[in-house]
Amino acid sequence: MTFYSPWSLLFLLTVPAIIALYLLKQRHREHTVSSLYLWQEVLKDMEVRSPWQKLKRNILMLLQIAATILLSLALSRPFLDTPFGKAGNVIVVMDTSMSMQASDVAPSRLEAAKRQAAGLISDLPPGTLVTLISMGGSAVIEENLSSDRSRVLDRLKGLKATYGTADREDAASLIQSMVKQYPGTQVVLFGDEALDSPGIDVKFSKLSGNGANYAVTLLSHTRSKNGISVLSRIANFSPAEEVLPVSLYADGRVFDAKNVRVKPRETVNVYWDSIPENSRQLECSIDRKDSLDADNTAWDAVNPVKSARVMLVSEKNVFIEKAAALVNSIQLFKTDFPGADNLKGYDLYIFDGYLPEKLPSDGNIMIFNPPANSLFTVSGEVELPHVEKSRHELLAYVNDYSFVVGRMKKMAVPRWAETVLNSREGPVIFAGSPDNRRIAVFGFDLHNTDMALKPVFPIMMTNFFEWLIPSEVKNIESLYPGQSIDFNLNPKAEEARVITPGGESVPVAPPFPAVAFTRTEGIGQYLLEQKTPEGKSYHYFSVNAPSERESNLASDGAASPAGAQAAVSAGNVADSGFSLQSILLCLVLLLLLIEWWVYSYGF
Amino acid sequence: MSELFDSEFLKKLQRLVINSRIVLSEGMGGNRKSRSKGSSVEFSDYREYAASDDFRRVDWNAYGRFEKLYIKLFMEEREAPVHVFLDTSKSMDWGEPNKSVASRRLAAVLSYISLSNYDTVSLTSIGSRMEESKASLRGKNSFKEVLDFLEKMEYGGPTDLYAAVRDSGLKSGRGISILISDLFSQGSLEDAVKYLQFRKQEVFLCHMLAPQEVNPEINASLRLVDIETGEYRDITATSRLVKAYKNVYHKFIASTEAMCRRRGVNYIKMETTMDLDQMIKMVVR
Repeated sequence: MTFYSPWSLLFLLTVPAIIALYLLKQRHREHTVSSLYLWQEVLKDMEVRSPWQKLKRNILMLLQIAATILLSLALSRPFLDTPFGKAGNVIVVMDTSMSMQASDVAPSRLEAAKRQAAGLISDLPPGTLVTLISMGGSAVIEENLSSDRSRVLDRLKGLKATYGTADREDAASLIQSMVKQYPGTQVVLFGDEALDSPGIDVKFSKLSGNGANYAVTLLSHTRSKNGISVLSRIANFSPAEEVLPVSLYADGRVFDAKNVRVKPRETVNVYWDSIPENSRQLECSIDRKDSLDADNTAWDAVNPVKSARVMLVSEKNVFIEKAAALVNSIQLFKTDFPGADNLKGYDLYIFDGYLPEKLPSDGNIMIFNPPANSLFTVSGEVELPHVEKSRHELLAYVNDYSFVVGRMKKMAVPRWAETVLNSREGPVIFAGSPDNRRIAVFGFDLHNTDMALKPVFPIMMTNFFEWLIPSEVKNIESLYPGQSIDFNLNPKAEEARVITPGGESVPVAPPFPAVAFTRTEGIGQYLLEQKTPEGKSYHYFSVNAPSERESNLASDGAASPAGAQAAVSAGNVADSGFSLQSILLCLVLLLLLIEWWVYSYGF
Repeated sequence: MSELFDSEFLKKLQRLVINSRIVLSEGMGGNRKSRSKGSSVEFSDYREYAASDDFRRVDWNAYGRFEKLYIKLFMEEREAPVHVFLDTSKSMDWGEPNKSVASRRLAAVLSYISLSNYDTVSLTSIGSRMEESKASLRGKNSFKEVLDFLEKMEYGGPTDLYAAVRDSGLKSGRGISILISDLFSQGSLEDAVKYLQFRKQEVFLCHMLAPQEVNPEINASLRLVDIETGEYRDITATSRLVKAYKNVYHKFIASTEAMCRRRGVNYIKMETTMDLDQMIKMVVR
């Protein structure tokens, strides 16, 4: 047994004080009797002379001393040594994913989990080092190897459920590395889904009430002749068939409402047509109270399609023309070398084997087979370079490196750029952003390689066009809370900021280039505002709840990773360590009751 | 009408007297017959037979002559003087229900019964010595005086039974003495009884106790204060103490009873919770 606050045992000094108080003449309540005639006889028999003898039979005093001792022990927080007692280190993992917001466990899964975890942490033996990890969109170490119980509890109290999906792999790898460092560390997970961490015994306290939940799992749009058509998917995660009232809002106004019949554990596609062309924000929501509110609404942003103006400066290059034709939003203009000076007003310039003396002041630039220039060093040519495989994101989905480059320029990669494709002889492709503009340089002529004849070419070109033609926001369809997002800001933008659904204004740039935007923890419509000399431009994007992973509150439906721990009840976890304090306090209460009884009814 | 003797009490009194007529003549009366043997059969009067009369006293000769039932009345039992000694020490003015109330009501009833039976009644209040007395009241009309006397009675001080009885100026001659007391007294009870018997009295000892004296209601630490003397004793109530008190109490009762038996005294233990009827029945049994 260990005492958490042994100094409280000093309260035991009050025991002699109690005895001393009893030794002093006790205060007697006056009670008139008709005669002492009989009492004198009684007391003659029972006369006690020593004060100690008087104490011997005083049950009230004995009860009080017992209560004092127990109270002192309770204050010193005695703790029974248990398996946890020898652990030394305990990792408490709190699932803070969106499903923990569910109210099917009162008041919410996370609050219940916090309560359980607080109980567990309070009961841990003194000296135990507690690590608190929150498992939201990423695993975050809230408190590392702390012996300060109140600090850990404060941190625990401050945890909030996110809208994200629990990053189980991240958490598992974090736990594994910690356990590796401190063998014997106990791991307890409070959440609604087990954690697969091979080789580590993760005690799992499951919080799930199998609550009924409905969700809008998808909202997307297409443009058609009749305006915008919208597809929404309504999922029913409850065990009963439901008719759900679903509304579609366009720019904050109700556009239409439907009653949708959804069978249990099924998803229904709901189509909405003829939505006005100029609508910018779409919102679809289920107007029915359920266990999890966050996924009852989904958002979609409709941004005007702007076709990019691309200027191709080339003697003749059918490959580039064909590749550019594959991208819908490109409007291609062509000119030959003599007309290439003083170009202006294009989003992208493609220079094929030529560079003007003075580069255009606006737009991004793609350069093939560069001549000597002031932007970077070109020194001679290389024959048949040995191209190496690349993992650069501009070559995403490019898997076939069997193409051959016959001849290429020998180039030095400038400071502002990084190599996209390399060869033993030097860089083949590099790209970078000098002064808020993007430049990609291909060291070869497309006529000197068979690459243009292979499937990899259109893939690669699409990647480069996506990067070079600013579409402002990438991946808008699949943005989930916690994901980061790269903005392709307008090259002319002087200032850019994002207005979150909560109305908060988050500056994105300057400085340029803009760093990835990571403040996507809330769900709803976000607005990117860019200030250019011509005025402000707006671009909407939406962050939706990760309903595929988090909306199914039924525990059987949750995809448990293979080999997951069998569910351990909270009781089992709590059993592993508890203080004797509450038991002692109960005993004190019992003693007080006995004392009251003795006092009231005599002995 | 006073609180002590309210209408309820007076109604009860009437009923008690009717009921006790037989009891008196068979109980107390039986003891007094020997007072004057010669006159005990002295004819006094005739009266028509009424229900509940002893049919052995029907005059059959008169019946033969008039075909009506007559009862012969005799004089001999109607002269006995009854002395009621009432303890008026402070200890008697205690308890719930109060001993003073119960004892005075008992004295009133006994006086009324005696007066109804043409006995002379003397009332004496006794404390540390004889306090006050009302002597030789006769006839029902005197009952008002009895009530007045009892109502004005004041309680205070300790008791000395022997001194009080000795000072009462009791005349020699046969009679009945009824002593109503809680017996928490200084002087010897036995001496008082001896004195009364020396004065040729048939002694009735009505031992009046409050329920709190039988079963003391005590708990925790107490300072017991004697209501008469102001003396005190500190006690800490334990079940052992209560048990010891009960032992002493039972011994006290037993020794008093034994003394009474030895001296031929009618000992009647009463508790203030008892009904008046019950008390009377215990006296005149």
